[in-house]
Amino acid sequence: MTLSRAYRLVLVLVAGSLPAGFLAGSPRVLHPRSPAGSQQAGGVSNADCAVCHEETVKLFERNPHAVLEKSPRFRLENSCESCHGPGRAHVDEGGDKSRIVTFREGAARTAYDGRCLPCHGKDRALSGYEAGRHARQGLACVECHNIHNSTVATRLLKQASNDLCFGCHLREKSDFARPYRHRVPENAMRCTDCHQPHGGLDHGARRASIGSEESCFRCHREKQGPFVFEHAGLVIRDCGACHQPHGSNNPKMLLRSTVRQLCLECHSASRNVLTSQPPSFHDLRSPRYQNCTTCHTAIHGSNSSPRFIR
Amino acid sequence: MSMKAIGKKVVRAWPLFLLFSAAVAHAGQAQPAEGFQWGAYQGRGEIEIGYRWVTTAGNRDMYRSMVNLGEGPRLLRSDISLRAGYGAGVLFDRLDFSMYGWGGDPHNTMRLNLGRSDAYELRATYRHLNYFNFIPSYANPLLGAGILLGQHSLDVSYRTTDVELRLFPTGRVRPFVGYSRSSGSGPGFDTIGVTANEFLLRRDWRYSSDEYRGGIELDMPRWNLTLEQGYRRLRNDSGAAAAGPPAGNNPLPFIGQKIVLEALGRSYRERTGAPVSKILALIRPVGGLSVAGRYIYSMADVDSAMTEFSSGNFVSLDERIIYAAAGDAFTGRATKPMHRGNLVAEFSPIRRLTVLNDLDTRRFHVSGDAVLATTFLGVRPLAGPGGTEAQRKVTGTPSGRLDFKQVRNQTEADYDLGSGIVARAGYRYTVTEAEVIDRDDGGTGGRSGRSKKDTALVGMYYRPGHWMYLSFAYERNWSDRPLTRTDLHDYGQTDLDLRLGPWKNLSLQGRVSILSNRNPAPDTLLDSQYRSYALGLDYAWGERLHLSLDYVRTRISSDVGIRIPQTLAPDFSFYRERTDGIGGSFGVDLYRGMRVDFGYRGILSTGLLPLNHHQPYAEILIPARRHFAWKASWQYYGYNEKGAGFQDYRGHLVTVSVLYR
Repeated sequence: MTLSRAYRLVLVLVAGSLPAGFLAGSPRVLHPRSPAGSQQAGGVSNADCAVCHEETVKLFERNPHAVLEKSPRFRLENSCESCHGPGRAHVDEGGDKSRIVTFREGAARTAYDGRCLPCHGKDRALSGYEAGRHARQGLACVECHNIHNSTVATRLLKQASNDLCFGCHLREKSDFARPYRHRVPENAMRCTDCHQPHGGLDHGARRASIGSEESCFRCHREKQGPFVFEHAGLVIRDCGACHQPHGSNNPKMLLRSTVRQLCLECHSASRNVLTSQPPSFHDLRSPRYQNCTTCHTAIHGSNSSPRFIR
Repeated sequence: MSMKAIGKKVVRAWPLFLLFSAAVAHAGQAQPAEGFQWGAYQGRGEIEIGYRWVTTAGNRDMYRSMVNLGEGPRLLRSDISLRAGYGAGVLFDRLDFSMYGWGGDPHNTMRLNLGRSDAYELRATYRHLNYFNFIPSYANPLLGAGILLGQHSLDVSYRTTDVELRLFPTGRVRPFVGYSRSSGSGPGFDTIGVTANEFLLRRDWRYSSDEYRGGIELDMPRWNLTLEQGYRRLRNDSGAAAAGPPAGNNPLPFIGQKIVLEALGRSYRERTGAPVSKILALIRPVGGLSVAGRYIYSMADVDSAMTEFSSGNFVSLDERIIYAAAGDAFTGRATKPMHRGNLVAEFSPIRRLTVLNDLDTRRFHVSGDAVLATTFLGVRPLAGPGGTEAQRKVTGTPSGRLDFKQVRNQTEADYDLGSGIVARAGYRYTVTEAEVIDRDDGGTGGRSGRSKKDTALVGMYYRPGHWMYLSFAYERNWSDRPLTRTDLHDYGQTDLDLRLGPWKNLSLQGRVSILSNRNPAPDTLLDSQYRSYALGLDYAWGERLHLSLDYVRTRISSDVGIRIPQTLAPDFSFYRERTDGIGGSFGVDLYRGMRVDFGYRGILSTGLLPLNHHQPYAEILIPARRHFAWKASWQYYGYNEKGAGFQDYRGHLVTVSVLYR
């Protein structure tokens, strides 16, 4: 296989970064709210917090965020303050909730970016988070995550992930009750199998396949191609040009109830667009021509037929 | 008593039942889910094992195509999680393991998430989906004759595995490796069109795809760099063979010849390889500025070969011959180099203002070349003076090329007006270029297009507290020309979302989404509208009582000008869909953990394909001993397609299970 110049450059970068990364490694990474920050000045310890919040502090030992106090990378003595901010005023004024960050405030995303993103903002899963729809609509992390009292172990979610999504996305919830659908209600799939809820660099909060192509190809890899003969419309647009991915009333989750209707809406002679007109022997009065995929069976692309017939 | 009368009584009794349930729930004592201790681990989980009985009426194939849940013993679900304090677990300090639908159900999943703080994280998923599809009305060339055989059907098993291991040897360096496999195998039926007839083919799907990836993540205080190298491989060894009667679907002669397929064998051999390289960088150099960038390069290529042999009596209009057998040998190769880059930067020049720029560019081409050799045997001329030619060999070298370039840049500014109101406005610019070049058996042709879109974006959200959220977004797009006929061209999209939580346990929600797209070009005349309105209510009284209701009204109307292939006469393609989705569930803890849940989810649709799809359910949970409970459930699936009663089905599923928690 011939490697192009760009590919060789990437390989060199990957290979070169491995030793560099290990040499640069340090066992201690400062938490953004570590001793140099505001946290220690006039701070209260976790033991102080436990006087009133005993159960919460006890349960916190098994919380993933316990690394803040236990891990040699952080070793914070007052990890509560790393998220809730300085607690001295809250303690001094007898537990006044207005003197500490309770995460029950306005809850706009911007209010909490400074709480969660200093640590999590560099996670791969959050790359491009700012451009994601949830972030653009001001939704905060605590809309979906419950840090102390999560009933779902994974990712400290408030609810099982599908239920959590359907809590807001009613239309999609209803789409999954349609007769032709992906098997999400049966728990065979999760919304997060196809979507990256944090947004990200792929638009539509979709989770791309390995080559940053359609998320559909994560499972339907036989349709990813490349094909010797590509169905141009599908490559230029996406699977959504013909299918409703959540659920549809039409067979095969198509956008239209009959095959010819779907095909002819694109394949009719027009100027200035990429299209083609079926030849005149396609007699639409006959059911065999009404169903284009009777002959054009390899409609997603073919390696052996320019007309997608095998 | 008629169903209508029963329905009226139920509606009348509903408020009384709610009051009764609330009173009972108040009197009962909900049992909190207990965990268990296992060494250093605190555990929590549920395992449900049971037996399901299924009775169906109507079209069993449609039931299998849509639901496909069968009878027998099942591991219905299993969710287990273990947690230990930091460093307390020997091999792991957290484990989440879940399984659904094992023991014969068509959808089995298994998910494992295992990790030790500061050491590693392992994520594994396995999924098996049996895709059964036998819809009599779909792509059935015999439907017009009232014959309901599904000539396009599948019974394919898809298996997907995904494993990723991330190591944390130091705070800054995180190597990772991953492996994914996806495979499909099973039989199906398809058709092959030969001249003016089509014949049933039995397909044997057999493909598998493997993905390997590995890389390293460097996590520095102000930046993060991930380098990833992957490789995707696909092997397709599917085949096909003649499976139907030799006369095919059309017994009538064509140009005096009866078209017959006596035998056909076809085999595919495709090998796709694609190295993929990825660089991802996240930088937060100063407070108020964050930049995320990504570059991906992949170079996919496919080598394919197909052989086919058929015998019978056929006509080739291209060659003007009648022939008794044909052998096809096809070899092809295609490559697809692809570059993709993204850059997202967010900057807050002043405290209340945030500016975001999102640049995305994608560029690839697909070029394919092939050699096709067809040998016709037992050849006779179709017309003209009779010849003695017994064999004719035809070769072709069709090829295709597709170039695609897209650049999209969006700039948006958010301004915090105070009191929980944030307003935003922006502009998106998209340029897409595509060129398609076909060279089919000596002919040449090319089509190209360039589309430029300008999109204005405005929106706001209002979030005075947890009790209320209101957001509004509107985008308006103008484009100089579409690339394909049904592209989004001159469109306007409005989204409105309102959520209220006046009390802690009650939430109300309303959403509106409207998309209107037009293309007034005289040879297209596209006018489509998509409108969706959703209302939801959710009420929970701790663990004791839960009520959820939702209603979604969807209206789709689309008119597109088309040309009838036979005459090229202009016509219209109309699509109308009016769908009402209704859902609700009610659960109440009656007495000491004894719980009743019931609900309904249904789709009522009119328009071009009028149908109803009803899915009510009811279940009761009765605690037995400390960790055990009995559960019995009933679920109904009813599908009714107006005007196509042969596709209707009804299915009752009764499940009795034991729940361990």
